Amino acid sequence: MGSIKSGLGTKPSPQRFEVDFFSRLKTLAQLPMNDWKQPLFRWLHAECHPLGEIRFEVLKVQHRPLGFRAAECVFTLIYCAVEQNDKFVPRNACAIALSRKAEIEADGSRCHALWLALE
Amino acid sequence: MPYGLPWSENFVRQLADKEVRDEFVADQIRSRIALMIRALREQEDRDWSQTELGRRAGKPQPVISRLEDPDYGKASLQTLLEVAAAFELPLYVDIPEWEDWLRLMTNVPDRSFHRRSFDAERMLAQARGSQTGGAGKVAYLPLRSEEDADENNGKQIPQSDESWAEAAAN
Repeated sequence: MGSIKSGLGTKPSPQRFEVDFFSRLKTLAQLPMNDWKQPLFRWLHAECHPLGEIRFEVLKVQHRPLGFRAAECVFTLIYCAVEQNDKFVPRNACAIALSRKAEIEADGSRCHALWLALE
Repeated sequence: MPYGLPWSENFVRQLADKEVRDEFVADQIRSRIALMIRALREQEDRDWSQTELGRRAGKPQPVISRLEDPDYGKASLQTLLEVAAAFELPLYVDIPEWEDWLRLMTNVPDRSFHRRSFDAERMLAQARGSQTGGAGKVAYLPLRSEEDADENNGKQIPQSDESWAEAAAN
């Protein structure tokens, strides 16, 4: 969907991925972030802290868009990883995501808002 | 977006694509079923494990686990009936208009989601309250005319509480 393409914009994706991703975001946007939990979402630990992953599967691919809580009602998406055999692909997905997080926190113009709760 | 509407112009334009529309509905419903079953199972006055729900629904725990997976999407109507029955709740299926459906989807089952199981005492009290709480004793009568009576196998529908009671007694 257009809004998600503009939010990620890195590589073309099958339409079903885009629609399901948008649908999950719409569902999460209806919930307070403190209620974001499995099976739709999971906060990560250890070297991936304080990232969170949105969890959904399309055509047997387990997608794990990663992001962080930027404010009380703001979740910033920073990287779209997938999960295979309980590991991220790419393996350094969290490191990439955390470096992007630092980049965005240093320069807010590196991201833009998409108000899904109102979309 | 107009105040109070759960959709924007941009969103409706995206839904104009049938493939998008159909997949969006499918994912929303898959998620909703999964979240609803989990929320009902974890409801404070139940706090059942998946194994406990499975025991009550006559399903092994892995089946319950799959039903709570928003990516699963293969729950049969019969299984949903059995799970609803395990919660002592009815099941409701509808094919609504889009506007109504979109409004319904904004109510995501979360920890505040609460459904009371069947309780005859509670419902009887409500039934008694509705019979005695009004200004008069007018029963709700969906059929009134002679034609209606014909459609009702020739039986006239009683017109008051008393006649309902008589009809019931007969």
